[in-house]
Amino acid sequence: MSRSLLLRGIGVTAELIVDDGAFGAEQDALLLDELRHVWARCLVTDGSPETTVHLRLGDGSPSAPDRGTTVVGRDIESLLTSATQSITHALLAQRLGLRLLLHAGCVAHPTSGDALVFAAGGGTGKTTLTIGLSSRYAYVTDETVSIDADGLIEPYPKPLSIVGAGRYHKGERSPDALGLVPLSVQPVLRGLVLLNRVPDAREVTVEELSLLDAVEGIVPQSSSVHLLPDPLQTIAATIDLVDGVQRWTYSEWESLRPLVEERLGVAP
Amino acid sequence: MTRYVTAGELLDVLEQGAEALVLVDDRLVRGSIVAADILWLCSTPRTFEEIAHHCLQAFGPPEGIGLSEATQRSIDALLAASVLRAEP
Repeated sequence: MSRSLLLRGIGVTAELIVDDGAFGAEQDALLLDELRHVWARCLVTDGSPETTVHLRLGDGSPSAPDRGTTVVGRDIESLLTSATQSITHALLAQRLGLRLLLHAGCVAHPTSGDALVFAAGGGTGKTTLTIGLSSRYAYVTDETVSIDADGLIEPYPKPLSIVGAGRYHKGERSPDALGLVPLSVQPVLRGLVLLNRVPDAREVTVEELSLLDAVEGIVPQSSSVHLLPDPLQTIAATIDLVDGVQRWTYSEWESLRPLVEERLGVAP
Repeated sequence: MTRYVTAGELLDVLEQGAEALVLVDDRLVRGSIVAADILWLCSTPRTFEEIAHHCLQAFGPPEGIGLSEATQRSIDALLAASVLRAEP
């Protein structure tokens, strides 16, 4: 017996299917409940799935490739973590070459929808910053931002990987459980920054980047930008929407709050 | 649809600065356009692909990629490679 959920992220509808696992129906049911919990902000009840991800508790290799992406895990915690990665990849695959996709976190003013995108590589504090800001601003994503030509952002309020949240180094936490402000308006790009976290930085440094410097900083944080019809022009046009890109060098996320408030306005 | 850059547009941009970015697959290369390049670029309307290819010849492909290899990639990536207008 299989069980399925529909979720939507970066404008793509995906079906998650929990296949019969090796540890019995009760564990499969628990897995399904956990998926509903951590993916609550992305769940939808209608729509035609554009991609499918299968999940199965157990050992061994994934199912046949013609069944789409299959994720296998020995326990629910590790499977949830692997699932988040696989789901993100599956969603991205549907958007490559169609949208500017950035490896970035994003929050939006809960009333206006004005959104700030902060791009950076892995391990640079995007999730920590996102969680901190989302106590007042609406949580859009901590991982992947999809931006169209008008600056409209397709949300992806996925589970967040938190250090120490489970038995493993990182565990998946629901945005609801973390108390992140939900998004109820269309987020629109109003600011784009490149994050540079330096643990021993004594103060925040703000650099205004030239257009070429900004593009050079953004390209490594993009997903397959070269698949776009005019990739560099697309990035330049996006930069034009926000009147330039800044690089923020910082050590602790709280020090960025005044800059965010300056960009988006103080959140209620 | 192929977009051509006219000599006038190019001269206006190049007067502001002579740096360019070229994207080869997902690799960026940045370099300067010299006077000889400007003369060639402005001799007739050029496509972005032609400008990109010329820039690669002028200031070299991305690090770790030989010019001939970059040219091969560019042929595939010419659809994606484009030259960014330089800021002053």
